[in-house]
Amino acid sequence: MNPAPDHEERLAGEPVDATDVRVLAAVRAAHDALDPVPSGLVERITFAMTVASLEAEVARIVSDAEALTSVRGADYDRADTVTFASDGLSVMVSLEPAGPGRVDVVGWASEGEVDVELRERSRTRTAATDPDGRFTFAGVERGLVNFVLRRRGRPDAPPVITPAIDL
Amino acid sequence: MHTDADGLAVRAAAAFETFRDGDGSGMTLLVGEVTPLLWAVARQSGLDHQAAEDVVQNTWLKLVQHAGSVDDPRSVLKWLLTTTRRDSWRLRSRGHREEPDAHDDVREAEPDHTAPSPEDAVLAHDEQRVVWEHFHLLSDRCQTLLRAIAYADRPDYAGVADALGMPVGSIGPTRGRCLAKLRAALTSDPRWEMTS
Repeated sequence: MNPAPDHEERLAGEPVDATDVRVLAAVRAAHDALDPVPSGLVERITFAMTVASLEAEVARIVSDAEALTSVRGADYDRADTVTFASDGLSVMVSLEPAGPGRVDVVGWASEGEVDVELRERSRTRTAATDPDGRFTFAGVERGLVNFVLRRRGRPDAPPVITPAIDL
Repeated sequence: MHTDADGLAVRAAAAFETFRDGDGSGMTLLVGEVTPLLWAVARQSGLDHQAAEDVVQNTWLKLVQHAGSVDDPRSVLKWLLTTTRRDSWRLRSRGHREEPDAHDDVREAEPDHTAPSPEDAVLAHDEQRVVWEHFHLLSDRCQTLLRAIAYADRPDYAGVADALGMPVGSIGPTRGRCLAKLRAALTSDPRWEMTS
């Protein structure tokens, strides 16, 4: 059963070929099936990295986020909102369907003079609140997003980051 | 744009540079691409699920903390691998597995999903089943090397082997002993030929 060692020795000195690629692909597929990266780990890591690199304060969700995630269902006529709060600053975010796979995000901050950053999976965009604390992002792709809030008048204060929500 | 032909190390370097310049979007993609490789290293070190998660997440956080002190972005993949490997060993040598009660984290209470033995493995494809069986007959070192390599691109083989503390020539550009052993075992197994 065991191949002769000199056979293995010779094989070891040859370049990697198509059969090796097939073997390695099978090694990977078997591990993907039997010992995969836990679901959500990549998202938890990127969130933790963002918090660390911004030295941000993490806001907590003060209203039920379940309503928001359920927007994926067929029940589009309900207004879906979620409220975040951190250290005196709170933000309510409301979603409206805007065509297939997209939503408009309308938000209100508890104070004006806030720059709001929307972090999607592969891009980031920003909006400034109007004097009433209102901001909008149109046509946002559904998926996991975070908001990063910065008070314009207090450049030294740490930014506030919201937990990821599933639009 | 960097592609598979450049290898993970080159893509990691590019993402890390944009991250240091204040653009985190490339890093998000990189975490998605490199985490399976780090997971493989942590798990092959013998860590349970929760410990492996902690080590992998801390490795990325350390990269954020030390972003300023990484001189050459091309060394980022190696840095991630060596940090994961070193921290995995440290955690294991502290006897983490012997003291589950030392952690009151509720996640510890969940059953650990250690990799099933070859007999228990339920794999949809015959090819994977045969490979899984022969893979587990290899030495621990070879299993670690080949599992990690399987999550890297070809230009990265030698660098990954080096970061794992394997001698030069363990793999890439030539096949090396570990891959040769697995290949020889498979090609002499009639079930492998039947799956092709």
